[in-house]
Amino acid sequence: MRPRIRVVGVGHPDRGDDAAGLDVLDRIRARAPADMDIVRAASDGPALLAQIESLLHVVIVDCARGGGAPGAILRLDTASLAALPPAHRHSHGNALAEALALGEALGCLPARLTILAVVGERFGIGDAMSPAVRAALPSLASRALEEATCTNTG
Amino acid sequence: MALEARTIKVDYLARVEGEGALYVRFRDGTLEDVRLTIFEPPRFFEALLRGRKPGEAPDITARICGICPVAYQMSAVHAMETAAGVTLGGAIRDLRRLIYCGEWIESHVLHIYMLHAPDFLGLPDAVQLARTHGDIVRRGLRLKKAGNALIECIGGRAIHPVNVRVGGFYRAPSREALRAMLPELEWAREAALETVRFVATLPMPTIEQDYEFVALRHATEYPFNEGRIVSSKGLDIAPHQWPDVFEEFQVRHSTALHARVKDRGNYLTGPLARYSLNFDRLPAHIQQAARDAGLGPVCRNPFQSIIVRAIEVLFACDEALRIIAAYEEPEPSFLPVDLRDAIGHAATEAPRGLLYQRYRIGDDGLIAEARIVPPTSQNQASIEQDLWTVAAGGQGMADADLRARCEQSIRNHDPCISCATHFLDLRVERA
Repeated sequence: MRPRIRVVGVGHPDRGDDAAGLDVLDRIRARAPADMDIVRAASDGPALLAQIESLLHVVIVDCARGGGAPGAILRLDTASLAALPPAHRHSHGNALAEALALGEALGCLPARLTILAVVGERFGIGDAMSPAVRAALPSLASRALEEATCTNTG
Repeated sequence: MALEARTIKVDYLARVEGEGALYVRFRDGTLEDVRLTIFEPPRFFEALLRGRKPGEAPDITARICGICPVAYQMSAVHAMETAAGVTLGGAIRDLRRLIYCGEWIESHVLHIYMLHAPDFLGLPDAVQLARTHGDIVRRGLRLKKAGNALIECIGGRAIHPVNVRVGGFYRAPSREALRAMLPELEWAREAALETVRFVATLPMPTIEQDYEFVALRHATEYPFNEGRIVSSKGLDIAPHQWPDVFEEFQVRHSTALHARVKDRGNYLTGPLARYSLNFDRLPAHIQQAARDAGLGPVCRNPFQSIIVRAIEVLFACDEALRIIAAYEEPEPSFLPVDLRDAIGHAATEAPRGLLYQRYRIGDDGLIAEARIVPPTSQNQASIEQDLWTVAAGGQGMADADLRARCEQSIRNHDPCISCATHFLDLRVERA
């Protein structure tokens, strides 16, 4: 049976602050209620769309480049995402942007979709996470859990 | 009279795997230069493999590509087994064909629906296709998922599978696990047939290219893992003869090596070559589906590659159902392969074409040399040859239309630039 609520972590474990979305999954796994599951995002758009399509409620946790000071937590919903510029559409493009655009076109996005993103500053291969992002991880995990367990559908 | 220059440029090709560019130049009405430029940085996989254990090769080479990791694993394990003089049969051999079916399905379907079909319909991308042809895109997404699920079931995960090893599989999937996939694969076979019918309706530019097709050919099967390397100009060699007959070389405008038949020139691997050299190896009902879609037994129109890919998806679904119906778990799931002071070669059929690998194992039991020749490297010169034909024939077109047609022409061959740019030959010149 498909879960009602899903938290999806986006990122790369070995590219500095980009690991934040995956780190949060480890932090909330033990605290997640029974009807919530927690997955690591697929790396291509169609596969990521398959992970979230037609679910009741999805929270995506990611790391953003820009949009605030390093460590700041951004909250985006479907409406604010539509305003973002389109991503490069090749295999090295943004799987999340592609999945959301396809899902929107096909009308199969989750009934409620929230993206939480911590603003990062280090994304190089093998980089350590920056102190600002590391310090923000506990709040990011708490915010993700709050969003996922919030029953308000507005 | 001043000469008039006209240039068609695409700085970042979209809807291909990896990073490349296109450059076409006319001068005074004459086509003067055509280049498929690949500028993705080299990735040095062949150097990375040196000093590693032979058993690590399938896991390291799988990382070359997220779309076709199985192809890299298959060529690697077959090369190692050839070096050891080991031949595997029975259920292990069937499982290898089966996981390859999964890869052909997911890779071809991704290309057909998400990357290539928008070209034929004059749409910028798959998102727009989803708006105008929602049911068709939904079918493509579900079909791709069926291919990924097959890879995951056998390989442990859909991207960069971890269950393939030299000598077989770390653990064989249970009969029950594979049989549970049958209903979705039955659906997939029907969806694949609908895909063939759909792509056959697309408006199809007509060009005929005099390719030298190169593909594997097996005594009885449509090829995945085994066979001799044959060509439409008479080649018929064992995989270990690849370096005797073919050669790689550098061109200034590409970080991926080009390849040619020695003393002859360009050739083409991939679906068009596989199909044209192995039409008689397809089951009769699939041959009929191809005929119904307007294909003959040989296809030299690169734009029709989208139909050939759909035929291969249909074959892969059919073959997967056949293998699963007869499957019994192999016991054991792998045979030990001991390697020391040996050389092994193998070629298998990646979705994009022939993938050749060669390894030399030193007397310390470690990889001393590795060579990997992916299909996109081999196809670059033929892709450029197509561009010459398309650009020369499209002189009367407006720039935007000609640019779109040239991009479509490149996508005919589903180039995987990330795969192609792993070469080792780095030269540093200092004054």
